Amino acid sequence: MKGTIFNIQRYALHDGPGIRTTVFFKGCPLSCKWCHNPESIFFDQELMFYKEQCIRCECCEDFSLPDRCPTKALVEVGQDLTVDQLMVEILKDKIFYETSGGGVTFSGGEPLFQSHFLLALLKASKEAGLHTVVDTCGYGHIQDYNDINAYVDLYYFDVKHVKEEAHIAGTGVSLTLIQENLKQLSKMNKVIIRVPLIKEYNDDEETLLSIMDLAENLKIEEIHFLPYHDYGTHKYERLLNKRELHSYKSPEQSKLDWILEQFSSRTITGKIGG
Amino acid sequence: MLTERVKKLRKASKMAKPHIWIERAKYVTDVYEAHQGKVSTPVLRAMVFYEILKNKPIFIGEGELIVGEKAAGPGGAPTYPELCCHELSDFDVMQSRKQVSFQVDNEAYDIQQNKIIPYWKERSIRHKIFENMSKEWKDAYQAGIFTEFLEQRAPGHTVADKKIFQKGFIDFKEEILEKIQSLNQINDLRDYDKKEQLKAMALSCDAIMLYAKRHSEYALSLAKECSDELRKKELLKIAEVCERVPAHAPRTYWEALQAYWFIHLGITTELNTWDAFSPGRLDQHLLPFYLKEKEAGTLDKGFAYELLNLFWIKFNNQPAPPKVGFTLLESATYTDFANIGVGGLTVTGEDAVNEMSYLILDCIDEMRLVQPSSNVQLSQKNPDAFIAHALKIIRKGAGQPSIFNADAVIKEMLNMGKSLEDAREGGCSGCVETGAFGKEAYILQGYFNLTKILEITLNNGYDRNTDKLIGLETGDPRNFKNYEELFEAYKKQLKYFLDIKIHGSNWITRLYAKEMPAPFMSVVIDDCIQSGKDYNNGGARYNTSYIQGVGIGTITDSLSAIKQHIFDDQRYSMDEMLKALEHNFENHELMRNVLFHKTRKYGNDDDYPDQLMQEVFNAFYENVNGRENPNGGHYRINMLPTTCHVFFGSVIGATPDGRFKGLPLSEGISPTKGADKHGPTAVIKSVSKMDHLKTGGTLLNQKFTPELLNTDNAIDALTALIRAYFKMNGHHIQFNVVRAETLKMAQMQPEAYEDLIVRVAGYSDYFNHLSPALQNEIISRTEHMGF
Repeated sequence: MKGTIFNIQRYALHDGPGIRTTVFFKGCPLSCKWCHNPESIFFDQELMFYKEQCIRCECCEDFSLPDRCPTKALVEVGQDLTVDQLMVEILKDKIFYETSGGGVTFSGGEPLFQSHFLLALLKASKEAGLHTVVDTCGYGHIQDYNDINAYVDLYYFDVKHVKEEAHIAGTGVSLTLIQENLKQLSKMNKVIIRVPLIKEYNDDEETLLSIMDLAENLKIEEIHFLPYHDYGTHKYERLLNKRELHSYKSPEQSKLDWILEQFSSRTITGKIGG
Repeated sequence: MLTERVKKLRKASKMAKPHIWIERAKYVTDVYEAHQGKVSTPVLRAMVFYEILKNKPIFIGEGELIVGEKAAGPGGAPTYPELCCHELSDFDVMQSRKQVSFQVDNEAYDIQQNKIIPYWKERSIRHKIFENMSKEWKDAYQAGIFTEFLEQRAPGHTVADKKIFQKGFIDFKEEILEKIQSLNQINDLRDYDKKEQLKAMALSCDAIMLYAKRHSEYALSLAKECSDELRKKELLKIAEVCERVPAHAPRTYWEALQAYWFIHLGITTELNTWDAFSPGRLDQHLLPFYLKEKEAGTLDKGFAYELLNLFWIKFNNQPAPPKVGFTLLESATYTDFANIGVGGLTVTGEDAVNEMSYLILDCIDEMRLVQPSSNVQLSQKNPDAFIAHALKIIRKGAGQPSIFNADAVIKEMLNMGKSLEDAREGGCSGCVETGAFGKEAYILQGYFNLTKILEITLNNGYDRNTDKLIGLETGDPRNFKNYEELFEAYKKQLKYFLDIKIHGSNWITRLYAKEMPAPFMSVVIDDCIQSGKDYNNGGARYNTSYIQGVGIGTITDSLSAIKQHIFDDQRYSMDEMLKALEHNFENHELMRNVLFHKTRKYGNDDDYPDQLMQEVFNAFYENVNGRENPNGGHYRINMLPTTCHVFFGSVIGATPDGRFKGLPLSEGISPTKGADKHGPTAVIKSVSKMDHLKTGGTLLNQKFTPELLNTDNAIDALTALIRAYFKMNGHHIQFNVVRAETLKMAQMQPEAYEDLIVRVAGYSDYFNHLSPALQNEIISRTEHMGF
């Protein structure tokens, strides 16, 4: 069995406790307009082209032989890897997990989109004694969550919006399944809600308060707000499969301050950043 | 908080213009002219020392509390014609060069021309070395295969242990006289040598006590004329302190600092001991004085801190003596490499972090001076709070302190046969070098160009740069059938040049033993008094000769490129690659790109290149480690560059890793700049595949953006990163926390960035003081960012 992975990030400090290795699964059922990893959305391998590194040697024969590129201007995104191959990479930093209380995080894309492979990886990670985090958009079969749950120490669960219309407009999918899964998961395991904070999409006070209420009602103890950044926009230009780039803005600092203020009177904790 | 006094003196220290102070050279020459040949060499050296300290001007600056300067005032640098007799043209160069320049006044020119040169031209150590080295040695030296540390700087590089804080020179002299009494006049065949050595040591004790007394008298005379009542009191106190130490053991915190400072000046006046001299584990040395006085109510924390600040400024007032030729290239800095450590373990193996450790860390933080260097010794027994405190200083970006693995350092010393107690009292000095403080002569003999050996191998013994056959003819590489044949040839060349290097070093070591003893330094290093032998003649308890390997990243990547592209993938023939290298990749742009971008390189936790690194490291280790030196000790290796990776790169043509001709090599044990693509954990894993415990020090540079250290979480992660590295026996790590953009701005507008300090190798320096090549090198070191 193989999974399609588009990146393995070592020394990841924002995807769970301690020093972590984050494995990014390729393919996502959502297509969020602000996505900063556009190469994560399609399941299939894609090409990215770093124009400024191209020396016009024509080795790739008009992009058909990316392997031949001498400068890595043309890069294939998405590798098919076995559990064993991935575990070798993941375990390379075991000593750092031990000294930092870290571990492995499965993110994406959507890891549940390759649920059998995810389950096998989680089992292998647990056998190796690792702390595991699954970072999910919540759009999966509840049965899949039930299957993996025993091997997960913590879920990072994305909440983008609380209104159906806005959710569909932003992500392309309905909110219903996601909210139901969040409810179930919060009963089964430790969950931290992550909110990509996007100006004029979900940073109005009403939406934010609803998200906080939702967390409190589900007895979820922590919310992380991740302010939108445009670091991902250059990737849209580099992807040979063109995706439409939507223009979004980061929330104002005053809004971030307002968010932190709200938590002074709540039982749950909130923070800005991962 | 810095006091007004400290701020003023600190500013004056930073403003002091480095200049040549010629008087030392005059005193030395006077003594040699009058007495050489009439007395034994050790006694002659002690007479030189006495003459200098008896006659040199005494300086007590306005507001100073810790007193004494190596020259006539801050910024002065003496010369040591007995080691290196400068030509007048050297003075011209020193004045006019952009980096590490020195002002030279007319009087200095005059004295140099009429007195110094006529006497020393053919008598200096440097002259004798170059006269006596073999043709093979000279060819290799000219080609940049290795450097020679001792050609214009004397062996030194040692550190004080606790005894100088517990004894005075009256006590030391008494021990020396007792030893003379006990010499067995009949059966000890070395009786004459020992007696002369001990007499010289006794005389140098007198010299340092006289020097301190002169400061005491001068302070008294200043006090008499002083109308400011407050300053008058201070001057009287200075007089009292200098009357007391270092003749007697210090009783107070102030006396302890002043006693060390006089000894520091003595050792660096006696000879130009590169890597100066250091107080070692200052937190442990000062703690008893501090606690006793605090309890008695005679010293508060604020004043203790102010004295510490003033002590720091003293180091910064002393630029390293001027260097010329290759020595300048390998160590292009004013820094004299005094290095002060805190933390680690006590001699009984307990956590040594104490109140003084934190006070010293604060001093490092607020002083932001390039001298002295400072370091943290981190044992697994030390608390996380201690390392976190240090990291919060490091993240401000001045490159200090660096961090050492106290537990590994002890293991390294045990591995070299030192006792556990001596190892625990030891630590690191200079850049990263391991030694038993107060008991060891650990001498850096020279840098060794591991990458150049490959170039020589690929050219069948021929050096393109000097246009000479200088190595063995190990065969035309076009005929090598596999990688192993190439590496066998590399190992033969490596051994050949190391033999030449070590043969030369043995000869030079004997030259110093015979002609350039250091009786004063010998007083404070065990067991010179007991053995009746000089520090430069094997008198110390341990005697280690270090050879420092340079360019492990570049050599590894180059071997990996050959193995991968020529032998494994057969993408290119050896002939094609050699032609491309010969032409510096001109018209071979495609090949260069493949070599540069597609070679599996060191620093990515990839066993393919990392195994090649181990093979080079082991070959280097096996050809050096354990060979006897003439002082009864052994040769060992360490892996550090100072600024030599820039010089060594300048003598090498294009390399198989896609590096262009003349560019710097990788520094320390760090990967080649830009080669590490998988973040800091991968770098640390790769460099840990080297067996650090087989060395006497390795140097790892990491560059982080400020964001990666700006939260408590990030500090925790970095702490964990360091702890993991040290679990894998990593020896040392240091951080540059500054953006590449900032450095680029500083290059364009140097005057706007006069204060910018960066980590270079085992030391920090002003960015503006670095050569453009070194500036570029630091800018392009891989910058780790947050993910």
